[in-house]
Amino acid sequence: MIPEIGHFSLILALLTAVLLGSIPLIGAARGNAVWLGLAKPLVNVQFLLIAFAFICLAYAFATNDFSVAYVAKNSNSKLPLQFRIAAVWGGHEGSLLLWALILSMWTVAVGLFSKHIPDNMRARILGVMGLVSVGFLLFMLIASNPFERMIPAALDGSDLNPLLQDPGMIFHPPMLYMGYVGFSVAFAFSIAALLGGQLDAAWARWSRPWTTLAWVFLTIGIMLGSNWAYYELGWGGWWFWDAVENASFMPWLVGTALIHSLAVTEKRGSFKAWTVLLAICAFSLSLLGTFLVRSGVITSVHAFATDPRRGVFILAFLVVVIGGSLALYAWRAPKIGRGGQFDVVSRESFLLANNVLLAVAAMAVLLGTLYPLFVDALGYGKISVGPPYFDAVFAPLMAPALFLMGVGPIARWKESSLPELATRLRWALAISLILAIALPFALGNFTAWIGFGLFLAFWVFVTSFELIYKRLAKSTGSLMARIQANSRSWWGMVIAHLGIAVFTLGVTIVKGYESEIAVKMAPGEVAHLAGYDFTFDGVKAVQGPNFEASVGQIHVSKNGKLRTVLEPQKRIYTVSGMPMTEAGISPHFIHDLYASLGEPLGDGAWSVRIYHKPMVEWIWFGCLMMGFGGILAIADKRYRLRNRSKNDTPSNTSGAAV
Amino acid sequence: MKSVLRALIPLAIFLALVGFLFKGLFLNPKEIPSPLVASLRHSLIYHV
Repeated sequence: MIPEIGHFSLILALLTAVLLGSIPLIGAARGNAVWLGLAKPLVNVQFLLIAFAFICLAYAFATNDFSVAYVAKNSNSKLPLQFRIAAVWGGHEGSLLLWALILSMWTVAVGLFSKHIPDNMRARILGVMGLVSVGFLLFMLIASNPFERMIPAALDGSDLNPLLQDPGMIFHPPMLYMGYVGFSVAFAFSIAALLGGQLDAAWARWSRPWTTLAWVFLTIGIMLGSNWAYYELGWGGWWFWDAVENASFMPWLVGTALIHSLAVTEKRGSFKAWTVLLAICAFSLSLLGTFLVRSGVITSVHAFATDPRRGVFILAFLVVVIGGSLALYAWRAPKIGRGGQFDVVSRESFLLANNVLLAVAAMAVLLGTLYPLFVDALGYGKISVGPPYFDAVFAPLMAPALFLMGVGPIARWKESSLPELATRLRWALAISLILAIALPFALGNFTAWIGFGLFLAFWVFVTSFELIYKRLAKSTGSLMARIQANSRSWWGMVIAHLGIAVFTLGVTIVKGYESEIAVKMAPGEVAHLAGYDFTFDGVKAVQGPNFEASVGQIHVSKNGKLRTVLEPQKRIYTVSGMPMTEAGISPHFIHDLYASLGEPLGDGAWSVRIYHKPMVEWIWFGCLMMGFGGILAIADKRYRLRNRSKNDTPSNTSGAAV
Repeated sequence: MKSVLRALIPLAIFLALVGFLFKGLFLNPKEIPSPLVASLRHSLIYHV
């Protein structure tokens, strides 16, 4: 009965979304205050209905209701409770319900925290979000019903894919979806502004914290996915340029460009058309990611079981949402004013250059992701595009973007001077170059590639610290007073940029200095890597809740002193019979020691792969810093002050970031 | 007129992309393994 109630709740949510997607928009067009006022209650009702449906599905998983086809397909009575709950979004139908729930949460949040926005603008924003919700709910009810019954009911479930039976499954997809769906807010703000013809600095200020928040979630979501792949897949990689990874990375790149473009629109009133286009593209790429995962047009370990009906439906949805919004853009954009003028050498120009580089990088990733499809569709055969393409194309695009990160925050708005910038940055350039050359020699291996990567990382570090020093020196009072004299959004920008530097340093060092060996190890045998001795003590059998594991014991020592014990596992999941590798990792600020078990080779010997990963943790720590920077930027006082003001107009934002 | 045409470029690119995606629905992508799928297979088969 509960699944039927959940299903009915979804039907009611669809009807509510239809009302939300129509009444406030008509009310805004006609200036009908009553209809405008209906937006907020409809938003709340929609959220409650979808949340209730979600709880019904979670209950079906928690109580092992295998009469529900989706539960039978993605769970099992032996599955631990936390994974049974995470299994709610472990398959196509449930993940779509999670998407719809998160969309309704964002809609409620916009309703709650946008009281300072004029009523008709807010009604349009909520109406647009309601229309997006209609598409997802309709898709769920027509082609992806998570509550579909199975008659007769299965005695037990087929189990959740063992790859997904990990804490990463609990946090990574919700975070990622918070990011994907969060861009629907920026999208809705843009469409509402295009509809109402209100593309000004106030619009940019209203939209900016929402966009940054979505970007923070997406950053952390991608970071969690990368870290999960690193320890789960057993070969020590942290990014694979897999099509579905790319699907999350493209909106991130465009979202990063959007955050910076919004800053220019807010501060100087420039780039309005470009900012709107970026907002449409960021959400469109999130939707495209959904299509790629669920339509079956590409292969990926992330892809859900596919169904041609679903692909056609999502494609039609893309045509309506993206095609409609781009058509609206084509209609309205030529009428959008150019905004504040600026010199070729100015902060606006540097930000524009960075925007273009990020957008081109996103397009390059899109091209590489879809190139096999293009070639196949044109009848030129089957080809695969892998990391060599992405590495070759992406790095040259990001190198100038990183360099500009050091220059942009120092340049003045409207008009700057190259000699002045060169004078101010000469020490930063010299220090970065010296460090980039000295460090690889100190580490015993200098290559041009490592040197260049280190130069870019140090460049962002040194220019950021120079910026901090100059700002603090300009203020008076105690250190805390000097810190507080600068806005949180400025500190947010600096910390996010330092996060990029930390990330770049981690990537360069791990790619340049990582080492690995694959060896056959019998109990008592020792392998040597990066100055460490890895002694294999054999394996012991361990019984898990729904798997049998062989747990290896590897004692790691250096100069005869025990440093750590690695315990890599080889698991066999009893229901599916699927083998899984669980890496044994000793994480450390300086380096990770990593081991994974292969196959048993007889007489107690196993194939073992051992890795030394210098500074790999910096990659994820850099992402955390970026996320923290974003949160700090959102916490800026001026956004809170604006919340109190009904008459929000463009105003002085001195001390603001970028 | 020039600015209208310029504003139509994103829509034109998107429609061309939709054409390819639609065609893609009737192709078999499994014949082209993704790099991650290939790597995953590699991780399960160790060459000693």
